[in-house]
Amino acid sequence: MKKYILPFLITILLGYFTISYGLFTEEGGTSLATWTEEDAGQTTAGRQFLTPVIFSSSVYLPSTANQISGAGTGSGLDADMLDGTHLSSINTSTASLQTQIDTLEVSTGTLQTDLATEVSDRGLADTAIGVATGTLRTDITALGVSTGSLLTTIQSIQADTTTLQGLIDTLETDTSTLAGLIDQLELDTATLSTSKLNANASFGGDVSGTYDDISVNKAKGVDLDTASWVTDQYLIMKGTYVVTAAAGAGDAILSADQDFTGANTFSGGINVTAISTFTANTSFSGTNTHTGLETFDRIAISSAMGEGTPVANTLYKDNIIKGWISFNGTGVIAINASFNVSSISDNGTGDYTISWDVDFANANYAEAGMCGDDYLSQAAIAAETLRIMAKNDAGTATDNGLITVIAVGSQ
Amino acid sequence: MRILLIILFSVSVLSAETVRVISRTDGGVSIIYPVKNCDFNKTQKELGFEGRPYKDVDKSLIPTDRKYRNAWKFEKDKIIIDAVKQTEIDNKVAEKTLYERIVAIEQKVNTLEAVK
Repeated sequence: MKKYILPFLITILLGYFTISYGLFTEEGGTSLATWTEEDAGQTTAGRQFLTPVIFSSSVYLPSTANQISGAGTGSGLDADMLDGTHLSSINTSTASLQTQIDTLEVSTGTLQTDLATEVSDRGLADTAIGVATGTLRTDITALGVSTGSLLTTIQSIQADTTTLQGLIDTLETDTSTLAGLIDQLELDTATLSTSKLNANASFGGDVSGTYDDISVNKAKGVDLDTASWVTDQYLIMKGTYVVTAAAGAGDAILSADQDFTGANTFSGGINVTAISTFTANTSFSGTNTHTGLETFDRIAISSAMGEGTPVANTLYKDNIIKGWISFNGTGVIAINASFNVSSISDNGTGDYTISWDVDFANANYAEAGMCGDDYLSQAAIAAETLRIMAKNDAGTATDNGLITVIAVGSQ
Repeated sequence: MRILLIILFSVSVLSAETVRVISRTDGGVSIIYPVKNCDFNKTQKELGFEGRPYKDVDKSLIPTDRKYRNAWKFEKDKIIIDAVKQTEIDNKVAEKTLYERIVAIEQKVNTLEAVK
């Protein structure tokens, strides 16, 4: 009997606490609340108690709970709506996500296939790609180092540039100063240029100086002598001068001793009556007379005789000896002296060929020669060479100890 | 001592005089002695010996005895005397000598005849 009393009491106690709660409605759903019999069907503070709920060893729902639908819709106990989202919509979203996942998987598979194809086409092995990746990493690291170094260099260059800019500024200042000095010098030079030689300048003593050009234009018959020319002293002309004597009654006369060391041009009728020296390329293009003892380094005769009658005792370019030689034709050939001869060839006994340094215009030139008691014969002649043979009285070629030849003609 | 040797060598080189020995088609030898501004090749061509074998040698290597000058020939880079031509030259000299002796005898005979 006792064994039934304790469970009974426990059941009574549980029933007390159990019936202390009941379901009630409120805005937005249902909830549990303490309940008494007086509360049944009452409305308190917006809540309507529906029915008590009795819990014991198993949940006991009163008959009124059977009025709620299977899903609990409208009962306030709809489990699908507890998170605010209906189960059906969650199911729809889940299906859509599943579809997207499937699509991504397909795309991923395609990409993997493409990558495998690309690796295969390029003949790349996984190891090679790994090595290349490692190399790239090394390069990237090196680039980082280089970039740092470059940055340092750039900073250094910037510092140098600043220094250089300072120097340039200084130079510009100096240049400006120099330009001012040059302007002043030009002004001074212009002043000197206009003042150094005026129209009637004369020099009473020795004169030294450098002049770009002096043009002396005298009237007819006026001598360029001690009285009227630029000096009454010894004159040294080192520049290029043009002395133009006007044609007419008299010639200009250079009567003082002169040294003409420049490339001078005397284009008029000039009489050089004094002892003068011409050491440079001086041109006398007119009919000039030199009665003094003149000294020339070289004289180039430009006129040919032509078809006319030669002037007596006059040099023309075709009456000048153009080449000559003196040599020993015995033993080993030895040249004593020569002019315009580049070589002499020994062809045999008494047989020699002279080669001219500056050739003749053609083979129509004249030559003459001697060789002791024997005689010379012309074996062959050309513009470039002259072949001669030394022969004895019997006409036999023979060597000779002294053979001389001269040649005259056009070159 | 080394400097002295260098100077002596330089002087000997500078003083060396090069001539060109050309072998002609007739077997004889022509020798070009330069004087001034000489171009060996140009001169050889002007002499008509273009393409012929030649050798540039020091002047001291040229024989000084010209008795058989027309018998000289260029062989193995040397000037030697052609034996055949040498004999011909000797024969000509002998012939000339003989001719001169005959002339002298004839002159003596003529003189004797005149005296007679």
